[in-house]
Amino acid sequence: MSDEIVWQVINQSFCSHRIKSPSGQTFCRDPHNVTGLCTRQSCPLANSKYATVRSDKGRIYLYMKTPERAHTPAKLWERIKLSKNYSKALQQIDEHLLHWSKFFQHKCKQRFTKLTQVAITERRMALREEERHYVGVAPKVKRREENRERKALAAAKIEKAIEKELLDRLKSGAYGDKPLNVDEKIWKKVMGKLEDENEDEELEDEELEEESDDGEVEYVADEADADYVSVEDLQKWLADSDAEQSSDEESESDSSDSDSDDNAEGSKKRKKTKAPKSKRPKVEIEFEEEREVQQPEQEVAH
Amino acid sequence: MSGKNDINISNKMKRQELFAEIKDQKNKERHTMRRQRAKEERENPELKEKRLKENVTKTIDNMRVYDETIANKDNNIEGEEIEVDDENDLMRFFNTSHRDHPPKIFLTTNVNAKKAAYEFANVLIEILPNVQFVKRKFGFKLKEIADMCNKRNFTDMVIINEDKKKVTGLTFMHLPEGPTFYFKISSYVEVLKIAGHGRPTSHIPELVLNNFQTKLGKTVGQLFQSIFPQNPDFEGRQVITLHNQRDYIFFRRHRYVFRDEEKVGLQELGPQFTMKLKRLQRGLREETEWEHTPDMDKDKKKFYL
Amino acid sequence: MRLLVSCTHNGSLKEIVCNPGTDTSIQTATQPLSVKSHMIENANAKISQLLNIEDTLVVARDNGTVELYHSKRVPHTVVSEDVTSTTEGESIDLKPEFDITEFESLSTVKDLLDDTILESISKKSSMRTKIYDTFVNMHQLPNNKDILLLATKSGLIHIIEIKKRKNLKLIKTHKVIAPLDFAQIYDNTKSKSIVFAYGGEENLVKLVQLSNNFKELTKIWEAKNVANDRLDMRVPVWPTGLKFLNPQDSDKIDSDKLNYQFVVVTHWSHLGIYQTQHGRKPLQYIDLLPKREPLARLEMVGDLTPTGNLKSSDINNFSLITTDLKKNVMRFNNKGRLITKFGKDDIVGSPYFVKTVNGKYVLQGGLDRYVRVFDLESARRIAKVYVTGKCNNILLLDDEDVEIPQLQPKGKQSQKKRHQPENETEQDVEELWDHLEENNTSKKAKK
Repeated sequence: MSDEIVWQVINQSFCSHRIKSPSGQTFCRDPHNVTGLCTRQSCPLANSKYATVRSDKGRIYLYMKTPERAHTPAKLWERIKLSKNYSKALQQIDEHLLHWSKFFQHKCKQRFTKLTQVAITERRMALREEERHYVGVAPKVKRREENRERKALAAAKIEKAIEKELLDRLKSGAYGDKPLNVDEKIWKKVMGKLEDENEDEELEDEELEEESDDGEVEYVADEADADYVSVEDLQKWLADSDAEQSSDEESESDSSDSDSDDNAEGSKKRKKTKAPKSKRPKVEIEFEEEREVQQPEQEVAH
Repeated sequence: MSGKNDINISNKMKRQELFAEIKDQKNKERHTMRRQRAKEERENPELKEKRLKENVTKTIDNMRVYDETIANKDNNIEGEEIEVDDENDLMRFFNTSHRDHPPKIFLTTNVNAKKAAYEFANVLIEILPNVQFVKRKFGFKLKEIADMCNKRNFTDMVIINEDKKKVTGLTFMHLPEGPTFYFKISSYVEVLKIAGHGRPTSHIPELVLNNFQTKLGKTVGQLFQSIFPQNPDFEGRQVITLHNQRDYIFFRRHRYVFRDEEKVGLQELGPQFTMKLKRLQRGLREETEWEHTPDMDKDKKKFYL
Repeated sequence: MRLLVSCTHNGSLKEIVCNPGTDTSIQTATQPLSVKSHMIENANAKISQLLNIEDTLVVARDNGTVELYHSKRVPHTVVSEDVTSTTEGESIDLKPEFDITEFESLSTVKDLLDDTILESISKKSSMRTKIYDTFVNMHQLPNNKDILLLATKSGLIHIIEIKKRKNLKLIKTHKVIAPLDFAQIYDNTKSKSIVFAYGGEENLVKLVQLSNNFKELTKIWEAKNVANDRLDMRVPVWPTGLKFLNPQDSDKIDSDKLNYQFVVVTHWSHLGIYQTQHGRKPLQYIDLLPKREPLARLEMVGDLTPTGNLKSSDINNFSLITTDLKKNVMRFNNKGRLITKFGKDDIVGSPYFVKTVNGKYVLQGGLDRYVRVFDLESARRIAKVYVTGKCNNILLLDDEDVEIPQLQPKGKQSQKKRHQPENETEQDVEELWDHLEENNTSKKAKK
């Protein structure tokens, strides 16, 4: 078959080696292709006289085919082992492709250069210590780990655990005789408790009310306790202490959404519980609450 | 639902009304029951204790699969003797050198690290004591780095692992002879993003290690104990917590205050991140001692730390 | 079965008596009958080699001592009274009867290791931490059972005589090129002189001959590295295990050349098959794992000699067991094809120690602190025992099952129980009914 016919088939209908890039350029995947482009000149199928360079098991060979051997496909390619010495190898290519077209002379040398460079890079990479230990993570596993982490975090109750641990340390006397991290009054109490447990419970309660503050203040080392008490704060504290006393009933007031008869009571309770959350503006909270409360009433009226 | 058939009314309004009523009734019943119980228990606190003792919620944590390496087993006499020996085994790696001189940490990143890694390094410099950050240079083998560190008396090496502009892991290597720990890092929250965060002071923090139970867990605990110094400044009232829950280790930093003898106030200083042990190797990344594989997660109730 | 396990955390030797099916990681499974520690020292004196000669035990420790113990079986007595069976009166009969071993120290030889040799080597080595000296091998000589040959990592070859099963005496120490990862004695055919092979990191396999009076050590053969790989780079050398095969027995043997056949696995995951008749390069050199992942040990499968060599000359039909540093214990055939993995999904730490015993069992122990026994052919796990420390060496003393007398009485009990309902009188039945009714009413009241 003439080269021209082959090329026409390849070019105009189909070639299994050809790939089209999105930009419209066509490449060739034939391992013998010397440039990698799909052109008339560099097509190893449509040229009965062809030369290329390939590497096999670490050695680089010059491959040539001529129309004289076209009838014996097994012996179609003649290959010449190229020297490890770069300049010698170039000479070898020159010798073997002496009367060939300039195109093949040039492209074979180019490809040979590239292949030697690849080999050098490969060697360098092999010498380098593998720094990372790559482990693939399936999306399923990733998602599972994320979910479990979230749930573990919820189950951990970290702050509670820390508080417990710190109190344990305080009470077991891990901070020494004169701890620097505890207020003296409290330390005395702890000491007292160690000696005599039931002593001055009322006093403690008062202290408790004084001390119970919201968590906004920064506790810097040389902090002086603020003695000044504003009216609003007092109210908050009162609410706080109430809330603490009725801590058992809190759960009830939370779930009493559909209480239609005890509306007044319910709203009072709610005000009490909401009061400590001082971050939001007050107006908004009340507005929302009224809506919620009114809805069931309307339904009843219908 | 209580299985009453009068819910089967086709009028939607009526049905809803009825349903609301039933629900209301139920709520009331429950509330009275609770109130009564609370009253009884206020009079007789033993009842509450008893109830709390009997009504223990089943959680994944307390249904955990049996693990013989958890130490608090009531083993026979021989077992106790063995436990003592085990302590020695762990100490050999860490505490022998630790008592003589405090930890000195060499901090670096992986090769070709991006900005995220350096930011994380800044955070770690604040947290870890006596730490020196060195920018990773290309072309040094791990053994060479370890040798250099040994010459300068570093006791630990920490490598931040960054991938795709995110910090993904931390490697802790104890020098000179290992072991090596590799942790996965996830859900890192920087200080500025924590609501109500405080400013840390330069005091040496206390360390709280929670929930490290198995032998492997204790080894990990030992690692953190050896990295953070053991003589905290109590007047700083800062505490670093490593809380292990279901093999996830949560890192938190707080400032605390004892409000009274039962109450503690905590203020978060940040940052937050979660670590998960992926690999424990002998030496400096030599034989694997333990490695997490995805099929270890098949059983939800099996934990390794 | 009775196992002796050396634990690295305290240098102790644990005797485990257990039956097939034992698994300590599950509470309800069979538990070992006895786990007892002997000879506790410290972590620096961990036992690296064990050898059992009739009623004596030779132990080589990493602090450079070799100790001789006399072992004696003593009937096991249960000290604690928490026997699992609860039935009164019968509990005494239910204890399984078996012996435990007691050891009595007879003799020691000291200072057999030399760390100084390894210092310069560990700088060059690809191991990242310092290498410590240890015993890599301890075997009886094939022609004189009272003489032991010990090899150390630092390249010292000690010859020790056991005098009258009571005294140890160091006869001679030779020095070979360090470091050593193994020293394998050739004992497939009887010969007057002793031949063994050694090798290690960047230390090619060498065959040496020890003269009869142990005075001279001569190198008779040295392997040659394989050709460069496809990147034209030198293939690194690090044989980690070697086992001999029977010599070639075909007609083509050149009597001028040595006639040995052996198999090698390397740290760079190669399987090498050597024939000294063929030449100094290996006949085959196969990559067992991708990326040259390290392999640590080599055990042959089949009919073995006392030192673990294979009694067969067929290099085209054998299989071997090897381990990597992660968690795999693998069985390969001679073509380098993976046949089975032992303890897949079970072993989590590096399987430090693997040994085949009696062509029936595979003993495995390692960094995950479990000792496992596998069936060789089916790769099924027979026993798994937790030993609180990392395991260095295992010896199977016997594989007889301990009879558990619990089984029989239990059977009797159940028979009794079955008989009971027939003997019950009507009164009992009535009582039962009353009781049930009471329960019912109380439930109603609760409602």
